[in-house]
Amino acid sequence: MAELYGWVGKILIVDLSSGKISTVPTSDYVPKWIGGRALAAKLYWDEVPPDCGALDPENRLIFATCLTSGTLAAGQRVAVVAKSPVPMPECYMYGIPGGNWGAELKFAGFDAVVVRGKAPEPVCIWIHDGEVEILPATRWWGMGCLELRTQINRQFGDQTRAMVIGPAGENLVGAAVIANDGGSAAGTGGFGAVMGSKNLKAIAVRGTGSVKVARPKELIDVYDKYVKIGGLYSGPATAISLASQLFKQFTYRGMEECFGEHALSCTLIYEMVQQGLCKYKHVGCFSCPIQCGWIVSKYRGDVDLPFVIGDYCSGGQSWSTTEQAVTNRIKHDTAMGMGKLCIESCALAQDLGVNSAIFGGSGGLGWSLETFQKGVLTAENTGLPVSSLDLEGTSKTSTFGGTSEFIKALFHNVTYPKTDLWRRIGQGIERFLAGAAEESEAGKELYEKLVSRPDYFMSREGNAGPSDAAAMIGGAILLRKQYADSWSIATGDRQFRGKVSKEEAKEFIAATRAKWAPFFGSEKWFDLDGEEKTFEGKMAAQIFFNALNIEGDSVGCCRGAGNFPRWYSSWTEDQLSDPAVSAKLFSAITGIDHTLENTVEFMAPTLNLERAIRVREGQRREHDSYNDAAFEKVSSWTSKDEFNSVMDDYYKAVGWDVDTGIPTRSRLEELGLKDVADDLEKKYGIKVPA
Amino acid sequence: VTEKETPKKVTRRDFIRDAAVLGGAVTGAGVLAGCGPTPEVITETVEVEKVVEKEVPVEVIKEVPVEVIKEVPAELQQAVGYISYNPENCAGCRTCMAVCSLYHEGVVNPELARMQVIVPSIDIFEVEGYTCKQCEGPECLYACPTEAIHIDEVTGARVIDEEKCIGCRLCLEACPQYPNSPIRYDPEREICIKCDLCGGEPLCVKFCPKSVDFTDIAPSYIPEKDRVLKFVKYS
Repeated sequence: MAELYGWVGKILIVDLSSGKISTVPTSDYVPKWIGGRALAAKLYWDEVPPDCGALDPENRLIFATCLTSGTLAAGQRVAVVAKSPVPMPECYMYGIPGGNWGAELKFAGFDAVVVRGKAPEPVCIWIHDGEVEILPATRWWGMGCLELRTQINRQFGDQTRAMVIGPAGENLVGAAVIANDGGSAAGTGGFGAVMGSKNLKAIAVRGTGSVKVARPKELIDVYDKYVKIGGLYSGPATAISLASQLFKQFTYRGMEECFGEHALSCTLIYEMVQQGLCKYKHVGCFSCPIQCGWIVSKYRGDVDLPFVIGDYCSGGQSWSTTEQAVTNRIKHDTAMGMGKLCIESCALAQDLGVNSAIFGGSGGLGWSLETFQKGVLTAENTGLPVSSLDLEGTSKTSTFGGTSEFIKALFHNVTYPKTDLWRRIGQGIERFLAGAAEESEAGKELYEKLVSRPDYFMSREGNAGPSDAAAMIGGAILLRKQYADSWSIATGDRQFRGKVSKEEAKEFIAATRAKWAPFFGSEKWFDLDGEEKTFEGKMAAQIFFNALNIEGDSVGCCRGAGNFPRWYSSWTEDQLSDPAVSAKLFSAITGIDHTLENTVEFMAPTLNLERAIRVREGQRREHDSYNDAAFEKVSSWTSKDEFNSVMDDYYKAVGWDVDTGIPTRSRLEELGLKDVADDLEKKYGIKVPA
Repeated sequence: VTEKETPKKVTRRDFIRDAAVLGGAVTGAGVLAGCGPTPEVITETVEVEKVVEKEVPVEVIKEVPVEVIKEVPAELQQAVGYISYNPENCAGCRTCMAVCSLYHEGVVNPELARMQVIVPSIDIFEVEGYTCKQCEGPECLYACPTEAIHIDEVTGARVIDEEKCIGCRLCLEACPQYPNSPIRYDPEREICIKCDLCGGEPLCVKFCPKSVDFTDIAPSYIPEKDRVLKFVKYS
């Protein structure tokens, strides 16, 4: 067997039912399944029976480190995959948190961990330098995440990294996260509940081993470039991080004007620091150039435990998510009042291990104030102090907010559901409103409103919901509609610093489009402001971006660190970033050559395997679409007919059957996935088109 | 099986003891008293022997003692500078250690980094770091029994010749910062490793996100006084 670089060689399999611990060589899976999302998908395909329930012992909880984990290249990410209890129906999902756990796992000698079965009593898995133990954790059951981490460090040493669940996970709440160290979490998909269903409280890791790299000097060079142009200072997380460091003198009002609502939190912290109310510092994942997290401590004595509030990949545990989800848009006399509420809510969400994003905020399908306005939720059926809400709708957005008491009651009721209603609320907006639709007209109205939202499929828990293809094509719509806008994040940043004028920024965007036109085979791979919006020329670009995303999730480029779209950089003279970064990192780390040009083919096995998983779980062509009402809402962008014809093109382009959406046998065999095609037919009785 | 019957394995402790005895026999106790480690060190715990078990041909041991009692030059070339660490803004990302071990050892392993930042997983306010000060009077160099530690001609850094190092770890213990010595022991290669200033451009400083020099595009990004790692030049 050739020596492995980047991978440390073993995949750990822990069966909690029998207590059996075993390993399989990583070389059985790589380089084809890379690591991270790709490796986790393969393990999921091999391990998880299609008919098991998400909270059954037969479900698996899979942690697969990304290839870059434990290396120099922002090496922190780990894919968490399981059948998720949150979407309807339950299905395959992934979350890719950062932190230090993934790196530590590799230093301890394992590339991935597969947890099977269910322990008879609460347990903790302790992994240290190749040794694995299943230890009783009954004394920790019921404990909040913050206290739990302290206890784990006391027992195993203060450099121990742990994936833990709080009371929300123990109570099998859909909004439960698996909290990683450092305020990061696998937030979506209810993986905390999956972990809780296995009676697994924590996976603690400490390692002192090495991760070998095939071409160390090359990796250092690539990373140097990555830091300078691609990774460092691009993307909204960095905009805040950077802004907060650059413009300390700014008040939060000033920041609001410059950066919108996204800029509030960091400046609030500064104001509080300046007034001596708390201390704070930036923190980062293992070897990350961005350091989008903050740790805040000693807040007025009310919150005495230090905790980390990240901005990206924080799974609803972060300052800004909590802020946007529950505390934003409440009338406060002072910024400080809001800051205090933010910190308290954030600490509470972290301690209970609950994902605040289910209540709204960025990237999630939030609740709306309407649930209260329309009487679906009331003071009587929830027991919440509803009077503190802004029911008249005088605030700027529809995300609901409330006082400290309201938020505390909300989080506690979700974490410890005493009624059926609260249990449904904890399962996320989709399941909650689907239930409400059966009970009342108002509920039905809200549910229909939800499913007709154009972002319904796309927002579904990190694009990993049942309809990946619809999200993909939705992405193509975005390419058409909003891509130029997203570029303005970078150019806007430069404009803000007086580096370029608005006109120059527009010129740059046009020049970049022209430069990459040959690569995508079309000048129209995205539309500029003022141009007619069409699908023409978008397919190749969208398929490429999707592959780049899978690659980033597998090789391990943090999306916050500029994984997508990785075309712009606010810090290079020509404003161009380097989309080949993950390919270059892969080559340098493994010694196996990979280039930007073969990205799509390189990721095709994973794309098709994920599709096969979804097919196995019942997804077909008819699920790859939007609700009719959603099409009405985006009628200026597209129509149902146009969307369907684009979907046909997409199926043909990736080698899936146009009628059913099932990958064709010829395509699967071409990718070396004959066994997948055979399994679909023989084991699962699904006819695979030729 | 009695202890005497076990095959002869020369541990680091054995080595020092043998060396000292031989050295005494050759050059007399008076010289011994004036230099390097005294035999008292030898009588410490046994547990270290478990970790380091090294086969050393007996002949080699006979040659070394002369070098144990070596002359240390009174005036040493000063290093061009040293790396300073300031925990105030340190984000605990360990990029410094990752790049250090990758550059020198070809692997990523914070344990093998030639500067240590100890990051508690919860309270990152309590982060601590230890870097080599390239001391003017380098105890590590004085302690080295094999002259593996020497002065780099270009940078003046106190560096370890990996060929000559026998992994005795006396340097590590002689370091004024011990037990938090930035000199590390590599159990796989059985040698000690220490900061060599990367030949004059320390990569830990270059790659530290909290020390990155972006003065050309963002002058106020991280003011020099706030940087975590600095390459401090000796005048």
